[in-house]
Amino acid sequence: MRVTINHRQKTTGLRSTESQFVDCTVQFSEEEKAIIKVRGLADHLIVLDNPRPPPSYREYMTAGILLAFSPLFGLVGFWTLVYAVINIFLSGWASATAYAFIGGALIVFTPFGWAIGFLMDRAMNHRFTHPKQFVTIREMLLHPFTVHSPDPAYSDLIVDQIRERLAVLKAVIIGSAETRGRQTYEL
Amino acid sequence: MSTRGSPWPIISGSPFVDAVLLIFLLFGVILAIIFGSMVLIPIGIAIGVLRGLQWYATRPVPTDRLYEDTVQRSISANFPAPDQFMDAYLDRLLEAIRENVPTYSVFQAMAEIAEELYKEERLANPLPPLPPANTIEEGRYRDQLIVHQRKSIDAPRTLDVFHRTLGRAYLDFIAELPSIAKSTEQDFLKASEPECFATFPIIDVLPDAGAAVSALIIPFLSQSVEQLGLFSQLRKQLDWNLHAATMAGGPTRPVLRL
Repeated sequence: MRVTINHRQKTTGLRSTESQFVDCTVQFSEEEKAIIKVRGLADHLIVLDNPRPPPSYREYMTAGILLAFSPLFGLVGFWTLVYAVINIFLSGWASATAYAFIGGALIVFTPFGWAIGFLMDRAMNHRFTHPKQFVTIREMLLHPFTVHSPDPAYSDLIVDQIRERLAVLKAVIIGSAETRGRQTYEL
Repeated sequence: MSTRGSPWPIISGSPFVDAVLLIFLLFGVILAIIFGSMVLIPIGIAIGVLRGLQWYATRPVPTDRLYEDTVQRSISANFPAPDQFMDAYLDRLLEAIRENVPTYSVFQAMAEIAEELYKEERLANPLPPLPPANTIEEGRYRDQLIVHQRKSIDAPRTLDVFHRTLGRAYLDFIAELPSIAKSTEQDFLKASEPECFATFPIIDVLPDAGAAVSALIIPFLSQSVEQLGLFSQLRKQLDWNLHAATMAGGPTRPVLRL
């Protein structure tokens, strides 16, 4: 098992926060891969901190605004369209077209705005209801995994956790190479 | 006809209206399936193709092809046989220790160890036959092939690292030896098999056994050695020894190492 740790800093929270991440790539040896396959260990996992940073104040506000105001804009769009239809008879096509365009745009983009707000809110809730992540061997075989760190000093602790847990995982894999034989005890 | 008591509120009571409603409903379902399929099937195909490409790009090399590649590289590397290697190695070692010559018995032990370590690498030996497919044994065999390829991809560098690692370990160890375990160049060359009235374990006369052991071990833990996968058994044993030495009462569990 060869483990490569990479540290990176990235701007998150709608460009409001600097977040630290620890990326970990695990390369299993061919023997380990064979043991995982033959003994069915692909669903064994390690538990680590969340890969996403906690939501920022800006994200909370954005999700709240999108969720709260999208239906309102939808309603405004609907009545603008109704007014555009009435305006055909009052002021003619030229004026009505402008209202129709605004109303149509509001009606079309409202569901997208609401959906974005809903997904952001859902992701923030998920972040708090699932503070830990479970990284399975299957996932490690497919791609690297990431752990969020509040600061570079804490990243050292995360690296220690990763090393410790992967060392145990390696012991489990190597210890599973042979199945145990029958044993009889006289107690 | 009354619909009171019917569990299906959609049923109107008139067979004609019910039939028309059913036809419309079926028509709607068929339309939904057709238009849904028009979107879902291409998406499904695209996902399938992407997965297939990903699998194709990351699929492991079959063991028989890995074996053939390793054999080819091994042939082109043309590592010297143990006897040839030892001749060249001893010449280099004698050249290096000219200023600080150990006794003949120490030198002889060093030569024997070097020969054993070189034989253990199996650089000049043919590869063992392929094991059965889809077994753990096949995984181990693939690891061996990959390590062998790593060694034979640049044979001169591999031999150089081997020479330098052993040379540094021996020179550092000789520097730690007491004067009783050393000789002069003339005496060394004069008596290839000197007669001794008594022998004793060298560890009993080492002024600092820890420093001598460290001097002997450290070169084998270098990054270049690890990258090439040289001295793997020796390094495993050193790991185990270190683990055993740091645990009171000896090791009871395997070494937790990545």
